[in-house]
Amino acid sequence: MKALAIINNLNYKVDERCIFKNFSLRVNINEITEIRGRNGSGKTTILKIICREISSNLSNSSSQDNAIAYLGHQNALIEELTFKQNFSLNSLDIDKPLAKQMNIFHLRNQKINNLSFGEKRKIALLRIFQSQTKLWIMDEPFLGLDADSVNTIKELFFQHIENKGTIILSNHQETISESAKVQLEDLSE
Amino acid sequence: MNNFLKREFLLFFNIPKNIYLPLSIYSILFVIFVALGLPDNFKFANVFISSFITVFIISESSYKDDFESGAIEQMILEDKNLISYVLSKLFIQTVFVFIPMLIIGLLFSGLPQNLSLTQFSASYLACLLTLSPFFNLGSIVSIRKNNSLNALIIIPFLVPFIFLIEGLFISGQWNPNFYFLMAYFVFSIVFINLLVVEVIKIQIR
Repeated sequence: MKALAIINNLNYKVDERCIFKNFSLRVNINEITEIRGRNGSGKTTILKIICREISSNLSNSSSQDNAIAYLGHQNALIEELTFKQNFSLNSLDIDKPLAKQMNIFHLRNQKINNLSFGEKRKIALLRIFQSQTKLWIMDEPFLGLDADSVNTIKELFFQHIENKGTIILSNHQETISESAKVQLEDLSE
Repeated sequence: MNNFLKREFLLFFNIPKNIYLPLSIYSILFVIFVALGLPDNFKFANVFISSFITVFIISESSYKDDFESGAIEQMILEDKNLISYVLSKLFIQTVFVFIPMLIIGLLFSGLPQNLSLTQFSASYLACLLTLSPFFNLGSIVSIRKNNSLNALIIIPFLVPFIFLIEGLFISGQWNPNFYFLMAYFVFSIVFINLLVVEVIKIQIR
């Protein structure tokens, strides 16, 4: 399988705290790569390295489109605006069938500050699903979601892979069955 | 650029406090100065003191909401053009806040004796657009730690600016003060905004 990104023997420290020691990683195209590990093991750092926000010895060996759809810990939503207005900010119209599948279409005129944590997360995920980019990078996408919602999101992930997409995500919750797993060591001790 | 302009326009349009809060602060400060009945040579000093304070206050929240919501992190990691984002913010701020401030200033204080309407408008907007990136830089530097770094960074930049303002609006010397102000304006718009972009990236890392 063709590699999207390769990291070889990476050493990385933050304020003298060792995060990675001789860490190697290979991310393949058209696959879900799940980065797992304890709190503080460097899951978010790895995502930032892949996005080239943190410099490293990362090499890109694919010619796949460089566009990324990124979802961080925060949802990047403006609390005072409605779900629909937040999508307008990103020049997007809500995809009705997709929003209905995620059970959030009825919330379109609700202000974000009136929604639950899980509903906000699903809205942020919908933005990624509508982004038309091949590469999705997500930091803890299942945070705050109930079991039904997690299953729906997993189905949408698999559809993206079928459509020749690639997904890289950090996750410390329920695993995704058909994914390449990268377990990060805890070097804090 | 268009997407960022649309985003900033919708943010101002859908959250009216972004417009009326700075304008109310500016108007209240102005009314206080008028009520104090200061002598004539303070007439334009009050316009600029009110403007300084208003620009300082709005710069505190310019990037804060986007920073805390994760929108800036998303823009950086999705490799969006941050300079377009910063300039769009400034442009929309000019349309919705700075131009109304100019109109309020003209209504309350009229024109300085030595300047025409065009000269006053151009120099006043140049002042606000020069000040804003300085305050934004201070605000983004101290965004993670709510400390006094903001004020400390801005003070050295303000010293030449204050002399130019005094020369232009109090002494009424258009030439060469306006041209020096334009040079300072270009420095602020180009260099300080680039610095703002770099500091935003560092804060996200």
